[in-house]
Amino acid sequence: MQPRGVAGRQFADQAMRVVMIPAALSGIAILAWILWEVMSRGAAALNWSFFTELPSPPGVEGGGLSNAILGTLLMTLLATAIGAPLGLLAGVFLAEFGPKSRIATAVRFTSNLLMGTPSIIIGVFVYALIVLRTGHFSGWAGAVALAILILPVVLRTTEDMLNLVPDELRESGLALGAPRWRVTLWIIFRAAKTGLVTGVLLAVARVSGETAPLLFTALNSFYWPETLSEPTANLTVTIFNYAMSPYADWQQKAWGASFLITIGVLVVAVLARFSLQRRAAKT
Amino acid sequence: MTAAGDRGRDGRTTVPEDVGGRGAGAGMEARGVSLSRRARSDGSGEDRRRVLRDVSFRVEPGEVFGVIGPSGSGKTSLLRVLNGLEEPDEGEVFLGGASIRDLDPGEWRRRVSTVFQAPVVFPGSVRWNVEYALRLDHEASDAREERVMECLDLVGLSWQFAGREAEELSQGERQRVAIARAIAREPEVLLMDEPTSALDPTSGARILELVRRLHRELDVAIVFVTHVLEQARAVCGRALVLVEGGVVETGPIGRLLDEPRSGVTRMFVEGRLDEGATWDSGGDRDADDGTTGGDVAEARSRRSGGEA
Repeated sequence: MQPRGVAGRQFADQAMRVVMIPAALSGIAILAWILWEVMSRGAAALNWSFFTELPSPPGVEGGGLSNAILGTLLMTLLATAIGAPLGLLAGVFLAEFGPKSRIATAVRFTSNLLMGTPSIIIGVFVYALIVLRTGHFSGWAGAVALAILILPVVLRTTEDMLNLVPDELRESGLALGAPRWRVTLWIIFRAAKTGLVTGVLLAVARVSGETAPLLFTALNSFYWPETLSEPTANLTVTIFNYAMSPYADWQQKAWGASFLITIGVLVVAVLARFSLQRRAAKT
Repeated sequence: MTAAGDRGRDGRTTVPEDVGGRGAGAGMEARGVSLSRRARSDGSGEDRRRVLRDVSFRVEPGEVFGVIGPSGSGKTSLLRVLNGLEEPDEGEVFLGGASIRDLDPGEWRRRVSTVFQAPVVFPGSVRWNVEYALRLDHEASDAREERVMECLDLVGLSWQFAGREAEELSQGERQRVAIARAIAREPEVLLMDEPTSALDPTSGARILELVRRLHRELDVAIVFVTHVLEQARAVCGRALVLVEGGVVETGPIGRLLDEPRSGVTRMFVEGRLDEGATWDSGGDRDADDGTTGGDVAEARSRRSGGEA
């Protein structure tokens, strides 16, 4: 094959730019469009009662989604409390203790599979596992479903982040006489902490917009979530219900809830990005 | 204070002058140490390359013992075996009569500490870096603080450095922190793997001066690995010449460098080793034959070799 001259290379370079720049811009444009729609329609729905009052009965204007906001926060926090430590521990095992073992290969494969599993299937699984056995929908079941979604994301980011820590740090820690678990806790975690936090934040951002698993588990409620042992209000299922309703007020509230979730995910994503940048600046 | 700190200097054993040894700490001895690694990472355990071949030597208490040899000769691998980061296929390492196989790895490494080639500091303050080692002994915080300051002082870092982020220091300062951390638990043997090779000449000269100071002021035997002959002459009492994983010659450093008995040592000293029939600078050799290219193999197997 004849080597290309400078002119040929420049032409290929320009041609690739012509193809790729519009593709990149179209992606950004669609995202910007979604953000604009959600923000322009949703911001108008946000007022004091939106954050403080319970939903109004069907057809009655007013009220708010305070119970759904609280329910989403509770279930997401609980899911993080269940899924993040499990994911962290599993990630530590994969990166530090048995990276080449058979069980690690199996865990890695299963985790990748879990990450690609549609969230509705997780919902159905938890429905069969908890809802059918307990006989009712519950916030606990919702949290478990979200935790299952969080776990593989945290596991993967934990393994990746720990693998970025130079081996010299591990060996220096071991060479001083510390057992491996102490080296992991005292040195490797310190070195990777921003990356680990980022992984958890990204996982939380990923599940906070999930609807399908909650439809089968937490369902929804018009009341305050006094206990997670009963159907629990949440923003995403509320959006689904309200958007499908014939009432303009509910539809506007669905936009408001969408706006709230979008802002929440945006804030978490920015936090994650900010902490990653700090990590990059330090290394 | 740990055991090493209780060792009085009055009771130092006398060793021959040319050995440069002194002190009452335990000596270290390697007997017939051999090490091989898988040459290729294709999963078959058959194709192994010998990295160390029947290495034997003794380090007297308090002496600075050099391990000199060309790049890829197995120096770093030898140090990893001495620290217990790698287990030899054959042979044993002894410290004061106790075999490495009989001691808990944590206890062994408390007594045999290591300073690596690249200055490695842990994320956190300089104080935390030095304290890390001391925390393993569950010392009270006052005692730890006192010892941290002692160690920083010994390596020539003022107390103002204690609160600084270790990762923000220069390479030379980082290496001093690594040395302070390594001596914090008062080891009986300090392994130093080319501690100046990642430093500029000025920082390197300061580290050499520091090694001499440690030798003067501490009851610690130092195994100093280098391929720079001037450095070996500057700090070592005795040394061994390691070529292709095997010991070519052992003796007082002056005699080794000025009047080598082995032709291989002479060629190494004169920088003509690549002309020799026994030396092949390529790393792709048959099993049980070559030990070159060790650095690459070390990098590949570092993860698996670091098991505690």
